[in-house]
Amino acid sequence: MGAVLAMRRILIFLCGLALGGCTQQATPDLRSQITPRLLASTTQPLLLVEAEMIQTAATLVQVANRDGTVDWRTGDNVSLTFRQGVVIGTRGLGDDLMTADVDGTVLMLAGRQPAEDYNRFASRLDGEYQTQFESFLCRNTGHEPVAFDSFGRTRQTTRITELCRNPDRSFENTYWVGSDGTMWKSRQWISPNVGYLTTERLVR
Amino acid sequence: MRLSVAAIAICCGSALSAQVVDSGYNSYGYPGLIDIPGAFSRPDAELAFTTSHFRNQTRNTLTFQITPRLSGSFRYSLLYDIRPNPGGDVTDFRFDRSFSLHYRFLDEAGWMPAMAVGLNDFLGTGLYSSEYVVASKTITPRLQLTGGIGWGRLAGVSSFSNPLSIVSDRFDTRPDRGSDQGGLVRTNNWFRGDAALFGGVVWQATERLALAAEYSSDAYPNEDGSAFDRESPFNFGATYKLRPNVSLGVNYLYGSEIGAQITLATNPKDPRYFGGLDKAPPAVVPRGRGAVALGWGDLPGSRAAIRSKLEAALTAQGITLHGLQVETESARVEIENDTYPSSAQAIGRTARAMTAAMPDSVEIFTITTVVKGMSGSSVTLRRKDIEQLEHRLDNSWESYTRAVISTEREVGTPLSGVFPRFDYDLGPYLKPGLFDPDEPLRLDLGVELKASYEPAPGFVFSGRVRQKLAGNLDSSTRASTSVLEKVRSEAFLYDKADGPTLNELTGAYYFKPGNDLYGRVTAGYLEEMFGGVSAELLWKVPNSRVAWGIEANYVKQRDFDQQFGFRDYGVATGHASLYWDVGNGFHAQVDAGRYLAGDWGATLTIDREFKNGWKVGAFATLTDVSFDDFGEGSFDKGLKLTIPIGWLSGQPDRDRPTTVIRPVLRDGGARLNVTGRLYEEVRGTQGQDLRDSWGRFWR
Repeated sequence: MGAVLAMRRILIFLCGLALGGCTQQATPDLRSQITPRLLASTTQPLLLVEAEMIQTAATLVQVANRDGTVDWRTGDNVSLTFRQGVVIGTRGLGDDLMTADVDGTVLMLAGRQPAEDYNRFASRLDGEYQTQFESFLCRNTGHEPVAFDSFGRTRQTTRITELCRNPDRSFENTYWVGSDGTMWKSRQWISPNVGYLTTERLVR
Repeated sequence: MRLSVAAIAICCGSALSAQVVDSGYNSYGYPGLIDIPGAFSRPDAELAFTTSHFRNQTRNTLTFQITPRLSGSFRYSLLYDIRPNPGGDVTDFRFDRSFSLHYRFLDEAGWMPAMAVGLNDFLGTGLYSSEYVVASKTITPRLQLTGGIGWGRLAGVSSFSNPLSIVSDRFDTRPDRGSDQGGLVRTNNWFRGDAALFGGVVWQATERLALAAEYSSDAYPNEDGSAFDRESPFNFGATYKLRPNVSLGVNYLYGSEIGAQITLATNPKDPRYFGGLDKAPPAVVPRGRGAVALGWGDLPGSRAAIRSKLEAALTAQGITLHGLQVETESARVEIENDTYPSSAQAIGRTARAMTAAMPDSVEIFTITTVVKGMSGSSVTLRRKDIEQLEHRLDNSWESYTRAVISTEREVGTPLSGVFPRFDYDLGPYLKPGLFDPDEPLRLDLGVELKASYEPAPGFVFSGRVRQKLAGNLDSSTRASTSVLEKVRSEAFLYDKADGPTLNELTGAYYFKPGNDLYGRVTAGYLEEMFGGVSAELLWKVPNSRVAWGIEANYVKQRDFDQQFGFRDYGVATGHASLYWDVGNGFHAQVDAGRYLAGDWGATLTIDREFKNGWKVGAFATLTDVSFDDFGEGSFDKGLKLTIPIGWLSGQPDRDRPTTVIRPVLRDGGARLNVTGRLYEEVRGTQGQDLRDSWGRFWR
């Protein structure tokens, strides 16, 4: 009598239990593979996303756009969902952002939020896969014109920062917004175990 | 105002300081210092394996924090050169099993220390038998004091007459350890005989390093002078946290020995990949796009187009489309969830796929989960809700409250092409054998071929063939001494088979004789040691916490070579079962009836279940077989551990193997192992289980 496990299971067991010895493979440097020429030949919208904490990077294509809510996906179906450039959901990263209410941030980015604290709400799944909500108070902390180079093209943007906090944690998001409202670049916090994602619009 | 701020600061300061000392496991693997107990508990649900060693003794302990206050331990000790009876003869070795319980009945608060009471080896052979009451107090954030009083083995040094004698004279003396079979709950010993004091101190030197010193009242009466020389009651130890769940310890013990210890811990509430790495589900497709092209002018043609589109989308999600009915305003879909541990996740993905495949006029989606040809639950959703809620903050609960969940008796006619169905899998297997006194750990490995054939809904033929490649399970030579029918105690003879073994070859029929009734009939080579016929009926009302089942079997014992032959022994065996969802994650099951050796009795199983699929449980069986006839251990008991593969890998996977750990496997209270028992097959699609998993509907 006793447990019977296939070999794949055994490997998963060894990696998954306390030993945790299986490190994630190093990600290739995606940035070095993207060239201005490659981008010039691309016609569909393209987004570069880098996750510093989980050490992964990918380019995403737009798969759905419904009433201003836009779904982007990698080739292997990891998805990010944005409202006006602000992340409201992720799938396939592990400690995913299930849903988020970012109305305050969207208004702030559009310059229509009075200079006061505003709310942000988010939900994630806990270790028993139950929905847990978290709320933050956020405040606009910076607003300055910045030009940056994106693979050979100069983007003229306004860099807007916001600081969000609650008694347990705080994070600072940064948005680089073009004069027409395009979110050219951003660094946004997702969850404690995914950390920050940096997004960069390669092809509009 | 100012005052209240200060009060908050003090309260939070002390709450933080209580967490600085990282209280761990002692050498017996339960919460404590080096050898003595402490009053604290480990984090709720932590499961820890501790191995500790010093001269001539190794203790391997599995400890589970059953509730925030109660922990239970199972220990397997390898003892050399000990005297089983103090003052008696020395034995070369003794492999000893023991259980411990530790209950914290008072929390540390203000001037009050934390306090706990514990029982050691209350079920084994009594070698480690002791009881204690202990208090621990955090003096400064880095310094913790512990002191307590012990009985039994913990009353070996500077003992005094039992203070409990005030209550009754019976506490004056501790009776001898009676029967040598072990396994009896020796309540008549508890807290009796002389008592002694013990104590110690833990200093958290750095975040990772803790130092401890203690005065142990354990005189090691069975070991001193033969296994090692005990020179002093003082122990000193250092514990280093290598990783959050790996601790290493080095101890200087009893003035003469150096010992080492390692603890590996895991917590079912902390999956390695958090909510899992499941790929994104299909996007919800709003109406007015794509689906418009499907006119209703040519109904048969469009039906075929809907089916092929939906089938392709579901197949990509690892879901089998079993049935489909499309009307003008509603659609019914029957699915088999082959991939997701959570039924709600399969339903959510199906609903998303339906938004892309169904004509605009279809407003009502009904999704029925089919399990082995039986309908689980039907979930009815409004398409408008799916469209509106996809990105809403509280979409999980909102979608649950708007869903209509029902059960139906019949499953519709399956789509053409779904049946017949054939599946097979070839892979390696590993089979361990634990706790043989001659060799505590044995292992076989080989290849296994599994195949299944389903000619029609509910009919499942399945087989499993193994070929051992290497291993030492066949090296056991311990002949069974059982006075009962040898239904399990000759398991080692089955492990001696060299050729390919037929581990299972069955035909099964699953059906629903009534709305909340589920039935199963299985015939063939049911398990490694028995073949025959098995029939089961389950009555489970979806939202009830209680379900009932009955199972009747007639089986014959199989030949040791595990091919097609049978031995002479045959038996009618069966049970009536009660399944009870107690609440707070605890589940109880009672199976009463006739066991394989013809004995009558009942099994009680208590599981702590986690909503992510983990289960940690214990079971015990009492039958009309006397403790003496049963033999070593006195009655059948053990631990069960279910770990979902998806919890470990992060990938969606319905497989969750269960490991059963029995201190000793004998013939009394032995139950037939049939695959496909109904309760676990059915429950995930319904009631509380469906609700608990609804957070994954949008995942």
